[in-house]
Amino acid sequence: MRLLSRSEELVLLAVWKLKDEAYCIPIQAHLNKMTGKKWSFGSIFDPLDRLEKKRLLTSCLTEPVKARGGRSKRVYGITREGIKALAEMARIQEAMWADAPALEAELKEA
Amino acid sequence: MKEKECRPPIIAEWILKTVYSDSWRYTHLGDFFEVYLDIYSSRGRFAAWAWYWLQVLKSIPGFLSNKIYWSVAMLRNYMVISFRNIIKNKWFSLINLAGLAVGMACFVLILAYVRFEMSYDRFHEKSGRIFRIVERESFMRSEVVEYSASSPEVLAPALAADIPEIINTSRICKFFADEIVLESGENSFIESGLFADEHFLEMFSFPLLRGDQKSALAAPGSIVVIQDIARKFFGDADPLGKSVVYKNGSSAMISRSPAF
Repeated sequence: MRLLSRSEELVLLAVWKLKDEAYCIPIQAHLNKMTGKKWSFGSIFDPLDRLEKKRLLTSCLTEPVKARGGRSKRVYGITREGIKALAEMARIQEAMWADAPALEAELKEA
Repeated sequence: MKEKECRPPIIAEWILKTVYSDSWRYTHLGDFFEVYLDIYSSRGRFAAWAWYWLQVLKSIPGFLSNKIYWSVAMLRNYMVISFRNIIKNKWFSLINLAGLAVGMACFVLILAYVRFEMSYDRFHEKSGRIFRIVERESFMRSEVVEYSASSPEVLAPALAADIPEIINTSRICKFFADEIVLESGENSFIESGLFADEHFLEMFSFPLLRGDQKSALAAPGSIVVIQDIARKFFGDADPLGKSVVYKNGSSAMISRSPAF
């Protein structure tokens, strides 16, 4: 399986964490909070679309919501393959960082 | 906060709708709306408005480049497909293209011909008000009908007298031959010309280089000639008042040349 890109990985993680509330705006808010960067809508839509094409996510439409001008939300949910992919990413992450030097300490010394 | 006020700008929303015309992405509009309301209630109307427009502006370049990219891709694809088809069916394509070429050539030629036919006599100032009398003839009460531009010479004054809408009439006559012989002293040339009555120059716009338009054809036996003919007979001398002899078989008559 191809590795996920960083943004795909982060978006997928956010969807998994948010459970039932995983539509664009909470995802964006969550990512903003966790990364400390501003995520535009476009930077979330595209990973979401790609993840859905890869069948790591599914989505469904809710009833129309008045606070959205009578439009539905598209709520995302993670699939079994999605969880597998996340597990894979976590394993790689740990493997790569396990023997990494203490970067913060190095910065402080310099 | 009234319900109506918190709608995002209509034009901006319309642009976003166009950009996200894909039904799959249509829910994004709702996301924009929600954030718009959020900013509206926390930071006020202008901030929300500005934010919304910013989103619209940001979405346009990608939308346009996407459109252009795919239309170019499709165009390339069409070209490749047509090229391959031409290569594959050589004779068929050749016949097709030849047919198209001949057809287009015919079209252009017919266009040129019709345009000329519709326009060659438009230069007369009064062309919109000049009509030709056409005679409709049917022989022996048969169904066969023929049209002819010739009519009795008395018809013009008769029509002018009976129909008040007719302002002026002019009669011309070809005298059964396009070519007539003109003579002056030793010079004799075959020329072509028409017999016309005195109103001819009033109705048709043939500007005269010399002479008076009103009196040019007033007297019987006057002639108006073009510059070339005047040169042939009289060289560079002033042709006004000179005469040429007109010959048609046995008949001859002297014409003065008051203008050309």
